[in-house]
Order: sequence, then C-alpha cells, then structure tokens
Amino acid sequence: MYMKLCNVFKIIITMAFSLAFSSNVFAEEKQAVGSSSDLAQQLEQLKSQVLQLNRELFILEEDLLFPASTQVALFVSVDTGQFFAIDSVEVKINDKDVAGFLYTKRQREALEQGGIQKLYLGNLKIGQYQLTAIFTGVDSEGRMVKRAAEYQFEKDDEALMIELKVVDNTKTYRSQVVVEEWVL
Amino acid sequence: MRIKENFTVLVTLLLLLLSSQVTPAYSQNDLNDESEKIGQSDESKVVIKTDLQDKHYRQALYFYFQDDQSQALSQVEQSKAKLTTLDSRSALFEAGLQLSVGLLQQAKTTLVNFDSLLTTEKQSGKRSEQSAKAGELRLIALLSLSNQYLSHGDTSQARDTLARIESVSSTYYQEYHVLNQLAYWPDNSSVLIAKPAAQANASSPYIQLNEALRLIELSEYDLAITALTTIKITTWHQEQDNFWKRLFLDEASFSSRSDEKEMAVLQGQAIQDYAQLLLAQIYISQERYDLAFSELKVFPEQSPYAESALFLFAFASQQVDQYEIAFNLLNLLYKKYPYSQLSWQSTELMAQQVSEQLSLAQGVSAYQTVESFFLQRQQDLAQFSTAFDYSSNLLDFSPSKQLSSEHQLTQQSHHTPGQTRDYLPQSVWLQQALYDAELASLYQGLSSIDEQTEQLQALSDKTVWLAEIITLNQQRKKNIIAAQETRAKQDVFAQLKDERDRLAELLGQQLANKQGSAFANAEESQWLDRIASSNNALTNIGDKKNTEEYKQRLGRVKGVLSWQLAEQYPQRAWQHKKQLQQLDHAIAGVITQQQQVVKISNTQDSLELSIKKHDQSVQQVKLLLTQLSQLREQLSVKIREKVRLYIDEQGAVLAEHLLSTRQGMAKVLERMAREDKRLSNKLAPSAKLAVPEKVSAIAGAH
Repeated sequence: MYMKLCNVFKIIITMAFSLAFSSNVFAEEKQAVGSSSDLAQQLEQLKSQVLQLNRELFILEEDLLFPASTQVALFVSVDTGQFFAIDSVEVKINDKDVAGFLYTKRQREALEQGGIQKLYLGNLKIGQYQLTAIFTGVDSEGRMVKRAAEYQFEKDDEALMIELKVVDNTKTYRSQVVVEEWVL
Repeated sequence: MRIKENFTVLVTLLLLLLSSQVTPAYSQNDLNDESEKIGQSDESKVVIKTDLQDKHYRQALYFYFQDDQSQALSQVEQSKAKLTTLDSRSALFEAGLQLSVGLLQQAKTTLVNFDSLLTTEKQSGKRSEQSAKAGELRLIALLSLSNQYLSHGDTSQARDTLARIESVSSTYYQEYHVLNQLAYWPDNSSVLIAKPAAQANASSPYIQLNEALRLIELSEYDLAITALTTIKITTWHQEQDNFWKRLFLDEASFSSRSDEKEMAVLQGQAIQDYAQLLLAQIYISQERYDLAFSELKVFPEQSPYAESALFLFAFASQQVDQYEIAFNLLNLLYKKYPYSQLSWQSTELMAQQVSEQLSLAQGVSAYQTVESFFLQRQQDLAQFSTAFDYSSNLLDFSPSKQLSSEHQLTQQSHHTPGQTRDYLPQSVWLQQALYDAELASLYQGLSSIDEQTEQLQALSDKTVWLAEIITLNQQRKKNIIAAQETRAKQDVFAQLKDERDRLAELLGQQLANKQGSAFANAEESQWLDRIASSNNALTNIGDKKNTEEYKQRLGRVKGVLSWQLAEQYPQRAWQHKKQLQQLDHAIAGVITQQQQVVKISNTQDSLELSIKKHDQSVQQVKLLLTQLSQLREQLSVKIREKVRLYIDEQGAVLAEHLLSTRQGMAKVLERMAREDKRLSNKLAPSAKLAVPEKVSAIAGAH
C-alpha cells in the first residue's frame, strides 16, 4: 500500500508542478512531444503554410483592389486616452462619408495601449482633397464630447497614409485630433 | 480677337476630355467626385520619413491587445512582406506570437535569427529607442529559446543558450532562475547562473518550490521541510510583469485587471496549498503521521489539490487512529470523485476500515457496496468505450455544454479566437484521459486542424472573389486600351494643345501691343465696330457735306470708349493671363492622367503576374485542404489508439480493484465463518455444519 501511495504522490507532484508553473517546460511533456512529434511537426508546417497563403492572398487582394497609385489608407491612434475616452469616429473626404467606427471597450483599450487601427482603405484619383474627422467620446469628467479635425491633402500617384491621432494635451487638460500624413 | 470666348471654349473642351479619362482606380468604392477641383494646400510639410516599422508594429499590437494573436501574427507577416525586413522589436514580437499560436519551429528560427538581427542593427548605427532596449530584447529572446529547448527535452541546448546570458535585469531574474533550475535539474544550478544587474527578488515561489522539489528528490527532507514551511507561511504578491513577459511567458490572458488580480490571489493560495501538500507527503513518507494529520487538518476545502489532500488526510487519520474522521473522509472522497483512482483506493481502505473497526457483517456490507461501485464503474467504462468507438468526429463526441454555448456566442459575435480552442469533453472518462499530455496535445491538434480548415475555406472564398476582380480588371484594361486608341486616332489632345499655344501666342502679342480694344467685351466690340463703320462712312462722304459735328461726336464717343477700355485693360489682361494659367494647370492634370492611363495600359505583365499568383493560391488551397484532411485522419487514429489504451488501463485497474475487493470480502467472510463456527461450537454443537454452508452460499453469489 505504501508503494502505491508513493506512486500516487509522484503523480500528484507531477500534476501539481505543471499547474503551479503554468509553463511548457516540464519533463512529463518530453514524452508527449517525442511520441507525436511527427504529427505535431506536420501540423505546424501546414499552419505555417496557411499563414503564408493568407499573407500572399492579402497582398494580391490589395494589389488588385487598392493599387499604390490610387491607394489611400486612414489610421486611428490614441495617445493615452486620459482626457478623452474614444467612443466613435466618422471620416469624410470632400464631404462624403468614407468611414465610421464604433469602438468597444476592448478596442478602445487596445488603442490606448499603443495600437494603431487601420480605419479605412480606399482609392482616390490624383488631386486635392479635404478630410474631416469627427471623434466622439467621453472626457475626464464623464461628459460626452466631440473632437474634430480638418485636413487638406493632395493625392499623387503614390500610396497615401494618413493617421488621425487623438493626442492628450496636458497643458489644456483636453485632447485634440492631430493629423499626420506618413512620409513613405 | 475674341480671346475670352476662345478660352471658354478651350476650358470646356478640356473638362470634357478630363471627364472622359478612364478612372485609374480599380475599386468600386473610390471617390469620383470633385477631383477636378483645383486648389492649393498652403501647409508646409517637414519632410521626416515616418518610422514605418513602428507604425506596422503598432497595427499588430492593436490586434494583440484584443487577444487576437493569429490576426496580430497575420498583420506582422503582411508588414514583413511590405517592408521586406522587420526590425528587432517586431521580430521579437513575431516570435512571441508564433509561440502563442503554436508555431514553435518558426519561433525558434526567428529567435535564432534575432541575435544576428541585433548585431546588424548595432553595426548599421541605428540608435532608435528600440535599439536602446537591445540588451533586454536579447535577454528575452534567449530566455524564450531556452524555454523552447526545454519543452522539447533538449537540456544541453537549453544550457548552452542560458550560458550565453551574461547579465540579467531584476525583471527577468525569476524566469531566468527557474529555467536554470529546470535545465540543470536536479543539480544545483545556483552557482552557474549570472547575478542580477540590480536588486532582484530571488524568493519567487516558483524558485522556492523548485528548490524544495529538488531537495525532496535528493532525499534532503529536513531542508525541504524548512523551504516548504517558508513557502506555506509567506504571502505571495503578484509579480510585476511587462509586455514582453506577458507575450512570451504567460499563457493566460485576462480581459480585465480585476480578473488578473483575482487570478493572482488564487495562484498565491494554490502555491501555499501545494507547499502544504508536499509537506504532508514528506511527513507521511517519514511515517510522521501526526504531523501530516495536523498539516492537512487545516487544508482549504476549495483548493486545486483538494482531492489529493483529502486522500492523504484520510490515510494519515487512519494511521493516527482517527477512524471516524478517516471513514468520513474516505466516504466523501469516493462519492465526490467516483472516477478517480485515489477514490477507488479510498473505497477499499474504507471497506477494510469498516470490517476492522465495526462488525464483520458491516464489513461484508461495505465490501458489497464497494464491489457494486466497481461493477458500476466497469459498466460505465464499457459504455464509454462503445460510444467512443462509434463516434465519427472525435471533437463532436461528448462536447461540454459550456463549450457549445461559448462556441455559439463566438459564432454570433464573429470573433476570431486567437488561440486554439481547447476540447473540453463532458465525459468524465475522457476528461481524465486528457490529463495525459500527449493525448491532450493530439486533441488540441485536432481542434487546430479544424480551425485551419475553416480559415482555408475562407481563403478559398477569397480566391473566388479575387478571380472575379481579375476578370473585371481584364475587362477594364481592354476598355482603357480601346479608349486610348480611339483618342490617339482622333488626335484631340494634340489639337487642344495647338489651340492653347495659339491662344497663348495671341495673348502675348496683345499684351505686347497694349491695345485696349484687344480685351473688349461683346458690347464694346459692337461699339467699336459701329465707330469704325461710322468712320468709314464719314471718310466716304469726305467734303461733300459738312460732317464736322458728326466727326466731333464720333470722336467723343470713341474717346469715352477708349477711356473705358484703357481703364479695364489691366484687369482684363490679368484675367486672361489667369485663365491661361488655369488652362495650363488643367492641361498638366490631363497629362498626368494620360500618363497614368498609359501606365495602366502597359501593366499587362503585373496583371498576368496576379493571375499566376491567383492560380497558384487556388492550387495551394486545394492541396492544403487535402493535407489537413489526411492529417486529421492520422490524428484521429492516434487519438483512438491512445484512448483505447487508456480504457484498457482503466479496465485493468478496475478489475484489479474488483479482485482485491472480492479477496478482502472473502477474507472477512472467512473470518465471519470462523467466528460463527466458534460461536456455534460454543452454543450449539449440533449446528456446526450450518455456518460453512452459509459462507459458501454468500461466496457463490459473488
């Protein structure tokens, strides 16, 4: 009985050890990898190929639908969201609605943590345009507020990337929308 | 000279020409309006190249922070394709994401290349904010690589990798220490490891626990007890982690900070519980049952180790003659965990205890209960075995209700899960079988294959959509070429240019002559014509009549008109110059667009390349779908083998328990028979044959 008990202890220790460390670095997993490594490797290769195919199709799609000569992309980023918790955005180009987005809490937090969202990808002919962006959100005192920006830009035959940055201004305790055209 | 009229006609023609140009955009959602508006942006731009590496990295972060690792990885891959190479920070991020989606081999390759990438960046003199953190990134890469080697059981490679670490910051010291412990297990690695750069917390619970386990393995129980006692009484705080630590070293991600805090509290408690359990185990192995008893007496009920602690506590209670507690615990254990091997052992212990502590008849009854319990388990196992054999899709076999509802929610919200969904069966047998790491990994592989298949179906749909786009583009290109040829034949553009040149020349002459009448409007021109004809008439009359008064009147009218024209001249000259400028601007726009059209007409190769790529992708999708289906079949076979093995093992254990229960019961019956015989011999010698008959009748029933 004692030997049995000792064996049980070994199992407990192994299991508990794995749970406590929450990591993949344990001896018992060596066996798992060893016996099914071929299948795991095959699966990994296939996964990698799917990922690669996904990438190639994405680029092909972009090349076909949004060639650089007409491509215009709009991005949204948020500084820290200290004075403005972003709720939604509407973008117009030459008074025409081109993009709008309603943010979930998670998406807002992702932006506040440094993420950049690709809001719109479209095509424009060569020429002068006026962009209007209207952000709605909640200020530091819980009031619903709007922040807007206007921007004149010229589309030439190169891809155009414009970032709409919601920036916190610590001097005025307000946030403002800054438009940055990426220099490629 | 009607310069103004000519200009108006020319501008109209140009506008017509502009609108007839084929839109160079391919999309259906392009903006076709007001592109002809001519304006000037006065904003001056400081030309500093945007850090595209950073922008692309942050686009991937947007998905990562939404817990969508696979999308984040796709974004990184796309960035890599667009930017040709990734900087060290993005490369490290890529490796972390590869790890989290299960692309271990790729992650290993990325991490191996990472070191050289850092060296290259250093040599190229990049002094960005990122490269300032190069040392930290290198450390993370080496730690992750060691982790990978250890997970594949390659301890020598792990040791070599860890040896490349010369200094460790306090933030990563705990991970580094734990990895060292595992790489050199069970030797003491503390002499080999680098010292932390600053004050580091070496008293991490995991380091301490590993150390205690090592001491137990080396049978140094006294030291182990001291270490475990410290762990047990210490309150463990949540470790401060940063982004990279979370990306590489943590499996769980939490939706909110409160969840994270709650989990940290639970983890702290679990560490203490585990230390307590290990202490009790040492005491039992040293036969110090009273210490084990007092240790487990205060063991929390809601603990991940409750089952093991319950069993140890019951065993220790028996050893310290606390039979009532032991009985209750054993009873609780087998009722609460009917499918666990510990509970099966506890049933036997319980029956044994009943027959020893209570009456023999109660002992027989307890053994009978235990026997029927094992028979029931055998029946359950047989039913499970049959149902499992009949299941065609292993992931559809006994899915947990919770998982199904979660899956439905996922479907409804169109959320793309970042990581492979774990298979959580409702069947307790399968749940237990999944404690086997290999089987769990095979099941995870199966889930992963299904996800990849879903993704490939989506890609297949995309190829269909792209085929339509390609067809449309081919059609458009044909139209563009045809329109271009027509325009070339008509030579409209050259005619317009000639006309513009002629007008420009005319304007130049008029401006040089400074004749006010050149820019006269229609009414003024009419007046001028009338004055000229009147002048002619007066000249023809000559001296035949006295025309002095008429001449004077005509002179006055002419003077007024000349004065008016002279006054209007600068403004009108400016207007015409401006119109010419506008015309030039419009012509420039047309030229650019014409060049664009020519460019599009000449890009037949790129479209053909797209078609080729598309065809390859279609073939690739088909091939991958076939390969995934084959792999799924292989995995299913492997899983069935493993589960069959598990069922056989469980069957054998149950049979062993059943046999040992029956043996125990037979022993009790024998004792009962002996007692009965002794009693009957004492009380009624005539009835001495009755007892053996009774015993054999009871035994025969089993």
